[in-house]
Formats: sequence, structure tokens, C-alpha cells
Amino acid sequence: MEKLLLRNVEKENSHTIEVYLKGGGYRAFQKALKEMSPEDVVEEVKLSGLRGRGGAGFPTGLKWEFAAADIKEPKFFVCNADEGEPCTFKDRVIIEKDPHALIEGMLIGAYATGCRYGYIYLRGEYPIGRKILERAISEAYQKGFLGENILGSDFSFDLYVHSGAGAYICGEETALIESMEGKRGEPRIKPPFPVNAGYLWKPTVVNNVETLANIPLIIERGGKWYSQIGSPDCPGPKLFPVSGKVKRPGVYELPMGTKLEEIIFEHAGGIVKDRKLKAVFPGGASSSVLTSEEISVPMDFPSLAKAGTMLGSGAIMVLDETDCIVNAALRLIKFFRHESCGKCTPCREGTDWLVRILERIEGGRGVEEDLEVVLSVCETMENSFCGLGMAAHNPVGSTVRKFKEEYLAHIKGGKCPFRSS
Amino acid sequence: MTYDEFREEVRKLKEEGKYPSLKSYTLPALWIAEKNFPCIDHEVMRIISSELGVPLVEVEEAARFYAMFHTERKGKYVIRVCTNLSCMLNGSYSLLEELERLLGVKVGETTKDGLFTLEEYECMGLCDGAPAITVNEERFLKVKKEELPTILKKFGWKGD
Amino acid sequence: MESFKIVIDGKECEAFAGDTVLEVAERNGIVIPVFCYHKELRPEGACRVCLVEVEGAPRLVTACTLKAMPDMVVKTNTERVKRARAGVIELILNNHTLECPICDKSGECELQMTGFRNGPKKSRYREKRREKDIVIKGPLIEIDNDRCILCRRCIRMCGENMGNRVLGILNRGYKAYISPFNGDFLEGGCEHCGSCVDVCPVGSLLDRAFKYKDRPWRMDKTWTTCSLCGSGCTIEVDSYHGKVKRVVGRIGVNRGHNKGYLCVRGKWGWDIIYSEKRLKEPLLRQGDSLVKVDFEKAVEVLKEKLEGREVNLFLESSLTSEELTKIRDVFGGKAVSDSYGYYKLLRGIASITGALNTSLFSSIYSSDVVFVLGDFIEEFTPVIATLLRLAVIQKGKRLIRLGTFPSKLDSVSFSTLLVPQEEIIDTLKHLIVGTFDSSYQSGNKEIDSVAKSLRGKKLSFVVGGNVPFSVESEEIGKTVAFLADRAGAPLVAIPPKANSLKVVELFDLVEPSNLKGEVNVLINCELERDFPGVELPSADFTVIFTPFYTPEVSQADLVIPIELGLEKRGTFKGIEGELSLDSVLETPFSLLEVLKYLPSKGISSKEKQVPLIKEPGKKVLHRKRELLLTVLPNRTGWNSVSYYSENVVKVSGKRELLLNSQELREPKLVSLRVENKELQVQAVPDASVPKGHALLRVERFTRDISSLLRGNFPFLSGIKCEILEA
Repeated sequence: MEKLLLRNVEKENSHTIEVYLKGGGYRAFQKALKEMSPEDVVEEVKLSGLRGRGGAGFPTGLKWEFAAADIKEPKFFVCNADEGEPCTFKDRVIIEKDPHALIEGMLIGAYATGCRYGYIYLRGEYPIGRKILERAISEAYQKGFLGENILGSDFSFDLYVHSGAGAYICGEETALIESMEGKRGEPRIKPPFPVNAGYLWKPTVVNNVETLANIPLIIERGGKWYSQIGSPDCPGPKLFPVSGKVKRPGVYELPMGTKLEEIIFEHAGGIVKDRKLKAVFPGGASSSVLTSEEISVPMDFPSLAKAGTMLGSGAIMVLDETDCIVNAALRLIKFFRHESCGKCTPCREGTDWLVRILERIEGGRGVEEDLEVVLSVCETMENSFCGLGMAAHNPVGSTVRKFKEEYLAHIKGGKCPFRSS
Repeated sequence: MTYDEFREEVRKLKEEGKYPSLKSYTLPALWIAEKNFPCIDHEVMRIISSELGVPLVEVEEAARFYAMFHTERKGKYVIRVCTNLSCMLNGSYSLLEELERLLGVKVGETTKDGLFTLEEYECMGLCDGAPAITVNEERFLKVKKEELPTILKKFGWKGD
Repeated sequence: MESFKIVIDGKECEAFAGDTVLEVAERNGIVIPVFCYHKELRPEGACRVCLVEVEGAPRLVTACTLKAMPDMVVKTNTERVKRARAGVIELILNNHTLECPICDKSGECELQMTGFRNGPKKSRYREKRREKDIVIKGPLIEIDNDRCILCRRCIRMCGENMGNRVLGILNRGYKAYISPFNGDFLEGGCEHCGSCVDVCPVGSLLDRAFKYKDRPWRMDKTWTTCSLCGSGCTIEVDSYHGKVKRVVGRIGVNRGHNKGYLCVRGKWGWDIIYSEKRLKEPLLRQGDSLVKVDFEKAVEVLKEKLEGREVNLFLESSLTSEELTKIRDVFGGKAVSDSYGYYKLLRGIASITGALNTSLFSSIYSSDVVFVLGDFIEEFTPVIATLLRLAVIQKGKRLIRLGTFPSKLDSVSFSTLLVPQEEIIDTLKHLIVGTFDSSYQSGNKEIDSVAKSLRGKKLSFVVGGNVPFSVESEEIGKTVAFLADRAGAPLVAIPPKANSLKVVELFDLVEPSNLKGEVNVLINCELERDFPGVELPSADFTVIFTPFYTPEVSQADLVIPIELGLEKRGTFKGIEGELSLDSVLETPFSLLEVLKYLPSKGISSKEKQVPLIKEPGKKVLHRKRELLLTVLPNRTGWNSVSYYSENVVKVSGKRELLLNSQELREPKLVSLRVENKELQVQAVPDASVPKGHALLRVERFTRDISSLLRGNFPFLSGIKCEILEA
């Protein structure tokens, strides 16, 4: 398949504006600005069927339409580059290798929704990305793509990088906004949604990096063309970061709906040392696990939901037969315990309890009733305040259900069967 | 950096006009402190509070919320070892143990000479290079245990 | 407002736009358990215990954040809901310390009650309890984080409702805990209103004065009115066997106009009852010393000394209406009172309205725009300032304030007009024209814009803070009343003291120089505090009725102990009509009891007449090069609370002279000069003090302050002064 999102990344100095312009960069933005009305742009994006790549899969065109309809001023356009989902590094590739695609996507979005100011909320752990983005932004200013009265139009847009400082929760859009306001990154009550009351309670569009990287393509080649790529109800190219026990970990661009099996075995080269695949988390740390029998599932939002898990960030984490599933689940729930902001009870307390139970089981001190307790704690966590807590229990609950025998082996054997001592 | 210099930096930050609201400069100001002081202490927070008109406790809340900010003294170099799933599956815990041994500190501690702080860290998005570690802003990918002394020496480690 | 129906547990309930499901349920007697929700606070949705099932929604929803929609069908008691609630409560209880036997909150703890009703019946927790051994001890408030359930009521109360944001949450996830900045309440700017303690559902935020003192279930709970300022707050006094253990506001439950909000004086000043300086027996002068005598003797001497003599009556204004009536009956209607400045204000108002009275405070709630005139309302009558703030953030009123000094209220006001003191009356006059004439231009854009925001709106007016103590109080009264009258709006004049209104109603208040009697009678007064700058007239005999050994006691011939507010039954004429005092405390002495033995003068009451003039006031202040001095008693020292309260003294303020930071660069010792009197005082630059003004904050009215103010009574503000190098 033709590389779309990754079309530039192999080029030398792909992060510079010269290389980007040579590859046809900023043409889409100029087309939007000069040949299309903001409404046309929104329509085109709606037609494309693009759904947000941050995890929730909300239709991007619809989000823009809501923001465009709000009359409060000023409006803000924010790129969510707080890529914190474990084993997700797709946005990093765009940020570091094709920053101008992101900036162009933001420009088009800001034009379509009437936003005056833009911020890229970049996770603090990407200092290299920060330098690249800041350089790219200053290049774009020099070429007149940013600033006042861009290219002689009456459209003005200023863009800045806002650095996070190590908080996964800030990937949640309202927590991200709180963080931009200088506060603890804790999610807000919704509604109101950010499109109406976001940063400083003004209309704020929050889009993921990968989502925005799609925008120039849609404008340049048309929404109709885009809608025919991949799964019909969830079209487009998708970046799949694959890691764990595969021979060739990396980011793979494939159409939405590519089978998980194909991604792991054809693109990522299969399992290291040709071991047996044991389990896959198909959509980041907050997705439910899939067993080796379940990997023929197409990788898109609806298919994975049907399979009882989710696409999330599309990060595929592969475990082989030598890996302990209890230990893997424990490590992931520890992550969520560390990242829980502490606002709501189920997430704050549930993650800690699950960590403690799993630590006991992994340490050979579990009892059979623990498994029942784990599942009921998972159920309580479903009632968390935001998506973090609602999904945090997935790696634990799903592994208890699908790898119960392995949990029982820990409990009955009084030790982790994967540890030598 | 002295406190007066820091105050001056925060004032300059405000002049950039990047945000329509002063409170939004809290994180950028904390970043300046993180990079220029051994830790973000209460005096730093007082300066931020008075310059930005943010309540004192809100500055402390922010400083204590984000994992990359140090409110306790840290070393000149912060070594972050990712131990999240992909790195763990690829042996990051043995790197962590080896670093503890080489530096003679436990996770979370700073070496006596104040050079290194060793941290177990969450995913830094370097999973295609698992196991990954970073030293301040520099990253090291697919790290093998044997490479650790060389990496440390780059930053002035005196051991062998 | 149009209503619609929603169904909760099969019951049809009436709902209004903006209502949450929880509010509708509460109104209809359907109990949904809560922790983080509090009806005085903005919903947080954090604890997740108020989960309900909504038809058509896949997930359970928190009733506290869910807006009622027409035809919504809600279930609050399905098995799924019960399981979810129990699950959440289980999570809280897992690591909750079992200190109930020694926890102050036990017996009125919401976690106990909600856990009892909705929690799991058996623990499944096999892990070691996670201790959070972080105890933060402030002077009056203590935070025991081990008991905290992180509902954040305290943070919202402190930050949003009180506008202070002293408390915050540090760390994240299960390690999060509540703390002020650097663990220091004072540096964080805590005003010790105690509201955080009041709304804490568990025993995490503690009243240190009450810690380990008694059990909530066995104390007598008495609702009464606080007598420590003119706010007239309803308070609950908890006592056991006749000894006060604490005062609580019960925010959200309290039926008084203060809704349970208190200030440091009301919350912690109760211990003045047990002050070491409390007078316990009558004292009679014998030669150079005062000796203890019994009541019979005291009354006998008193009767003899009063017989046929004219008295110089000095009256403090937190006596009950019953006491004041009796005092008037016994001593006559002429008095010098600390309400004299307030009387002048009311007289100004009455020259327009015809009545020496104020509108009820609650009248502001039926207006759209509340025009507030005055500085330091938050110091004189702190709870009034809180209520004004809440009128904005809870009821959506627009607040416009005119004053000279910045106020915490300005953070919620729609606009704030700060003008030099000598321009207050002129500014009001511009508004008198501009509010009703859109073509009028005052020459000042800010004034015009305020006039525009008053124009055509339903208005109410509030005058308070330092205005009764301003040299222009009467003229300001006329002017603001003229404006209110033209707008057909209520005018609330905040009394500085608990029963100032009754004092004004009953007595002919006079200048101290008008007293020519032979016997000085001081009731509940402290000369320097209540009449700064006034000397005790020379008289044949001086009798002092006082609860405390005050500085004047040494000058007295007879001293008779009396009760304090919390020991009284009776009424005040307050800002919200008649306010009642109740008490279960017993005292061996009583003012009314003593007065019973004195003969009545039999003067009849007559309605006071103030001539109607119907003209705005005239400017009194004309400033040239001098500064205008305002002497501001700190909130802790107002009414001498910190002189006698061991609790309040812990957070008392200090004496300092604040000057504009352009007029004073560095802190230094200066000499403050008023006419020919001087005071050496530490001066501090302060950007919030406007040019041309000097603000002297004092904790106590001591002899030197009183000397400085000689001849200025009843004024504390707008006094011409100069600053000289020390």
C-alpha cells in the first residue's frame, strides 16, 4: 500500500520545511484557505469519515462542526501530543519526522473552526520532539504560514508548544486543558465539552497528532477518496506501533481493518526466536487482552469492540509463551496506579488494590477467592470518573478471565511458574 | 541560578505573550526551575505564585503532580529506566538492578557525589527500542547490560 | 420558571431546568448517598457513591452531576446500583483507619452513616492497611490525612466559596493528600473561617480546640446568635454539663441567613467565656484598692450612688434588646455608644427614607445587581462578605463595589470602582445622574460604565465595612440612600455590632462631650476599644458592668460582672430582623438581674423623628497634601476577641502601617502624626493601598492608638494625617 502518513519519514531531513514543501507540503492548506470556505473544509472532513486516532474514535468532522458553530471568542485549537499510552510511539514518529504535516493539519483545522490560537500539548518525555516542533513552527512563521493575515488572507493563527511534565492523565482532553491552565491535570465534568467550554472555558478543539496528520491528505485528495481506504465504517490509514516480543518492533502504516495477525506476523516479522505467541494487547495498555486464537480480528474500532477489546491508540503489545501473564498485567496496573490522578475513588483505590492482589499472586501468596475479588473490583472501576479508570482494569480483568489457569497455577503452586527460583 | 535570576526568567516568560492567562505560565515556569535548580523548592514556588498571581498552594499542587518535576533534590543527571511492558519483556529490570549495583544507590536515590539520580520510569514512547533508558534528554535504545558503564562514563561516572 | 417531570424510582418528580437528579431526588425525599457532594458546593463527581441507573444509558451515572432532562427515568435502588455503591464504599473503607473511638467526628461521621446504610457487610481486604501518616497541624485546624477520603469538599469550600484557596491536594493517585502550601496555614493566607472543618464528612479536618474534648452524641446543642459583630450569624453551641465544647456552623443545615458560614471569631471566639480575665465577683473601691464584695452589697452601693444623680452612660452594642430596654428604663435614654458612627449613617439614610432602619439583608436576593459601598467588609463583618461572594457564585448576582481599598470581593465582582476617599460622594453623585440618564457623561469612563450596568436593572444596595466609621458616614448615607431611593431599591446598612440597630432605636446617642453627669456608667464597654480617643469624664463615681477585667477597671469605684453573648437568652435587632439568643449555660451573675433592683425612670418610648430632606449629602473631605488615615482593627481583634480568646490569639494579626508602595519604598519605622499627636509605628509598603492613603492595621486599641485618635470619635477613617521620619 502507498505510504500516506509515513510518506515523508524516510526522507533525509524530513523534519525541515524545505523537504516538506518539496513533497507538496502546505498545498492542502493553501487549497483550503484560497479555494474552500471553512464550511467546505468541515464538510470534506465529515465526508472522509475520519475518526479521532487518540483512542475514543470520535468523528473529527463532527467535532469541528460543533466548534465552528460556537460563537464564543477566542477559540483555541489544541493538538494532543501527550502520547502516554504504554507502548505507543506513533505520534512521536510524526512529531520528529514530519512535524510540518502536523502543523499543516492544525492550520486547516483552525481555519475550518475559526480558532485564533493553537497549542501543541507535547508530553514532557519528548524533549527532542519539542526542539523539532519549535524549529518547525519558527520555519512556518518565516514562510508566512503562521501569524497574522496568513498568505494575505484574513485568517490569523499563532501556534505554540506547551510542554507537559509527565502525566498520562493529561492525554484525557479535559485534564490536558486543566494542565494547560497551570493546574493539576485532572479531568473535568463533561458536559460541557471542550468544543464549547475548554481552555479558559472558551471553545477548544482537541485533536490527536495522528488525526491531524490525516487532514492535509483529506483536503488534498478529497474526503471521498479517503473514505474508501480500509474499513468502510472506519476508514483511513492507521499507524500501528508494534512492540514487545516481535522480531521487528516499529510503527507500521496499514489500512484500518488490517488483521492483527497480519500485522504481527507479516509486518513485524513474527515472534522472537520463533516462539509461540501467547497474548496480545491490541490497543495499548488499557485494552483487554487477546489470546493466540483471537488474532484474526480486523484492527478497527468496531471490530475490536465486538471482540471485547478496543483499538485505543492502536499500540500492539505482543507476549510470547515464556512471558508470565500475571506479571504483565501487574506491570500494567502498576502503571495505572502511578498515573491515576486520585480524583475519583474507583480509579485511585481500585488500581492500588489490584496491584496489591496481583503482587501477592505473582509472589505465590494468592488465594483462589482473590480472582473473584479482582473481577468485582474491575466492575467497580467501570464507574470511574474518566476513561483512565474505566479502562485501567482491562488488562487485569481480561487476563483473569482468559488466562485463569495461569493465575490458578500461581496460586496453587505458591510461586510464579515462570520464575526459576 | 539564583532566585533573583529565576524571577527575571519568569518575568521574561510572561512577556512572550504566549498565553492569554497568566496562570498558564505555571508549567513553563516550573520547567525553568526544574532545569536550573537541584529541586523545585518552596521559594521557587513563592516566586512563581507572586509573579503569576496564582495561589501558593496551586503552584505546589502542580509541582507535586507531574512526574518529571522534582521537589526533592535530584542529581545532575537523571537516569530514567523504562520498565513498562515492552521494556520489561525485553529485560529492563535487569538494567535497573545493574544500575543500582554500579551506582551504589537504590531506585529513587541520588549518588553521593550528586551526579546521578536513578529512576524507574513509565513508558517514554521508545518501545521500538526496548529496553530504553534516558539520561536527562539523551536517549539510549536497545540497551544491553554490558553497555551501561560506557553510558555512565559519558556523563562523568568515575566507577569501573 | 417552567417545570417538567422526571421519574425517580417510579415516582413522578417535578424538576426545573438546571436541576441535577440529586437535587430533584432530595426535594422528593429520595435519599441518594453522597460523599463529595455538598449542597453548598459545586458538584465534583469524584467519590462516585451517588451512582444511579438511567434508562437508556449504558453506564451508571453520578446523580450529583447529572442534569435532569424531561422524561428521564432514574432508578436509585436496583441491585446494580447497590452493588456499585457498596463497591465504592468498600474501596474507601479498605484503607480507612479504625480510629472511630478516638475520632472527633465519630457519631456524626458521614462515612459511618453511609457505610452503615450502603456499605458492604463484610471486609474482603487481605492487604496490610495503607497508612497515610501525614498530619498537618495549623494553629486552629489540623488535617489528619489518614482519615481523609479525598472528597475535596474542603478544597472547594476554601477556594471557591470562601475565595481563599489555602487548601490544596498534593501528590497524585492513592498518595494524594490535603495540605496548605508548605504545610503552613498562615503563609497560605488561611482566615480560619472553619468552613473546611464544617464540611469535612469525616474526621480529617479537625477543630484543634475541640480535639479529644467530647463526643458529638452526648453534647447539648443550642442554636443561638453570635454576638461578636453585626453579621448576626446563627450558630450551634455544643456543650456538656454546662460547659461549651465548641461552636459549629453546620453549613447547609443551619437555617440562619448565614447558612452556617462563620468567621474566626464566631467559630473559635467562644472560649472568651473561660478567659482568665473573666470577672467573677463584684469589686468595690476601698481606698486605693478594689475589694471583692457580694451582689447584695454591690447593688446596695449602686442604688445609693445613683440616687438623684445624672449618669454618663457608655454603652456597647452587643447587649440584647431586653437588656437595652431595661438599661434605658433604669439609666435614661441618653448615651454614648460605639454605634454612634452607624447612627450617623442611618440618620443620613433616614433623611431620605424617613426611617432609622435598614432593609433586610435577604432583600439583595431579589435584585439582579448588588451595589456594595464600603471597604473592609470582610474584616468588620466577615460572614456578610462571604454571603455577598456567594450571592455572585451561587445565585448569579452581579456585584458592583465602590470603595477606596481593594477587597477580596473584587475577584467576583462584575466591576469595582476604586476612588480616593474624598471622591466617594462625588462618584455617587455621578451615578445618581448617570444611572437614570444614558446621555450623561461624568468625564470618567469607569463611572459611566458602572452607571450603564446599573441602568434599568433591579438593584439593591449594601453599605458596610468602614463606612459607619468614616468622617463622611452621614453624608455618604444621604447620598447612597438618594441613589437607592431613585432606583426604588432596598438599602442594607450593615451594622458593625450585633445590636447596633436596637441601640440606635432606643437611645439618644450623643457626643461624649455632652455628658455632664455625676456618675459614669459603663456597660459592656472598653473605653479604648469602643471609644478610641475618648477620656472618661470626671465624675463622683464610676461603675463598670463588664464581663472582663478591662483596663478601665482600675479607674472604677464599683465593678459588676455580667454575662457574655453565649450565656444569654434574648434577642438582637439584626440585619435579618429579630435574631434570638438561647443558652443552656448558667452564670452566677446577670445584668438583667442586677438592673431589676434599680428604680425605673419611667421614661416613655417615642418614635424618633428624622427630618426628611431628600437631598444627597455634601462632601466633607477635601484633601490637600495630607494623607487620609484609616485605622482598621484586625478581624481577630475586632470586639477584643483576641484579647480574651486563647484560640483566636493564635492567629491574631499585627500592628502595621501600610502605605502605597510608591510613597514608601522600604519598610521602616515612621512617626504617624494626626494633628498634634504622634505614634511611632512600623510602616510597610503595600501596592494595594492607594496613593494619598494610610492604613493602620491594629490588633488592639491600646492607649497610644486611643491618644492618636483623641477628638475623632466615632471616626476611624478619613482622618487627615502626616507621615514623618521617626
